[in-house]
Amino acid sequence: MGRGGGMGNPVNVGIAVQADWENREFISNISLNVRRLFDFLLRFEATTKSKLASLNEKLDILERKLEVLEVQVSSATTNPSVFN
Amino acid sequence: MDAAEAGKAGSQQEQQQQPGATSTSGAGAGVPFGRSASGLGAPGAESFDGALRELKDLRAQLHEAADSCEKAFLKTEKKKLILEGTKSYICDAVVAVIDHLGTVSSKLEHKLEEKTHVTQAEQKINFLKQRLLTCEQYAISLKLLTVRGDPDAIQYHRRYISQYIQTTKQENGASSSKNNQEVLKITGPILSGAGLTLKPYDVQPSIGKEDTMASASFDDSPRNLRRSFSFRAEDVHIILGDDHKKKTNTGSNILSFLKKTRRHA
Repeated sequence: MGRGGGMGNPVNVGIAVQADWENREFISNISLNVRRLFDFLLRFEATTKSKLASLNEKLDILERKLEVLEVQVSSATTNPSVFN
Repeated sequence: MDAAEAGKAGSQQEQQQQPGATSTSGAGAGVPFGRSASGLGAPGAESFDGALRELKDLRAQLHEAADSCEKAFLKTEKKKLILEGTKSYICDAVVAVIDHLGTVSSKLEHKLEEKTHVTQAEQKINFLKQRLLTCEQYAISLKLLTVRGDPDAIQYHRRYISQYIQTTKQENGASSSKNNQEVLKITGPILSGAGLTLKPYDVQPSIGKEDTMASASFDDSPRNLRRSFSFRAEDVHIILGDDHKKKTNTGSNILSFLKKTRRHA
C-alpha cells in the first residue's frame, strides 16, 4: 500500500504502517489468547480423563467386591456347611 | 461521526444476520457475546448439561457471525468500520467462549468431586463384608463347641480298672443261673462305671471309635444288659485266670445283701 501510494506522501505511509502494526498486535493478542485457551483445554482434558479413570477404577473395585459378596452369600445360603 | 454511524450499522447488520442465534441460545446470545453470556445466573445453566448445551450453541453462533462479518466486509465500502466492528466482536467472542468453558469445566469438576454415591456404595459393601465375616466367625465358634472335649468320654486303660473287674467277677461267680437276670438288674446301676470303662477296650479293639455314654450301655432292654455282663465275665476270666475257681466269702455276703435289699424294696 505504501509502495502503491507513492513515496511522495510519507504521512499516509506512516498511518498505514501504524494501522498495520495495530492489526498485527490485535491478531497476535487474539492468537495468544486462543493458544492459552487451547492449552487450558488440553490440561482440562488430561485432568478430567485422570479423574474419570480413577472413578472408573473405584467403580470396578466396588463391582468386584459386590460380586464376591454375592457369591459368598449365595454359597452360604445354598450350602451352610461351607463355613464349617 | 461517520465512524460511529458505521459501527452502529455494522452491529445492526450483525444482529440482523443472525436471528437464529438469538432464538436458539439461552442466556447471553441476544447480546453478541457479552460478559453476561456466562450463563452463571441463567436457569438453563444450573447443571452441567445446560452449560454444555450453551457451549455447543455458541459454536454455531460463532460460525454464523464469521460468515456475516465476511459478507458485510465484502459488500460495504466502509471496510474500516466493518473491520473495527469485527475486531470488537472477536474480543467479545473470545471472552464469551472462555467464560462458557470455565462454567462447563467448573460444573464438571464439581460433579467429579462429589462422589457421594461411590462413598455410600463403598460403605455399604464394607458393612456387608463385616456382616459376612461375623457370620463366618460365629459358624466357626459353633463348630469348635462341637469338637471341644467331652468329660464323659474319658477312657482309662485296662490296668487301672482292675477293681471294677474283680467286683464284677465276684458277683458273677456267686450268682446262680436262675437268678442271673435279677442280679443283673440289681448290679446294673452299681456297675455303671465299670461298664463305661470296659466297653471301649473289650468290645472293639480300636479305641476312640465308640463314644457311647455310660447310660447308653444300660438301657432298659435286657439284651444290652446281657451283652455288657458277658463282656465283663470274659474280662474277669482272662485277667484273673486261676482265681476263677476261688469263691470268696465277701462275694456271697454282697450277693445276699443285695437280695435282701431287693426283697425289702
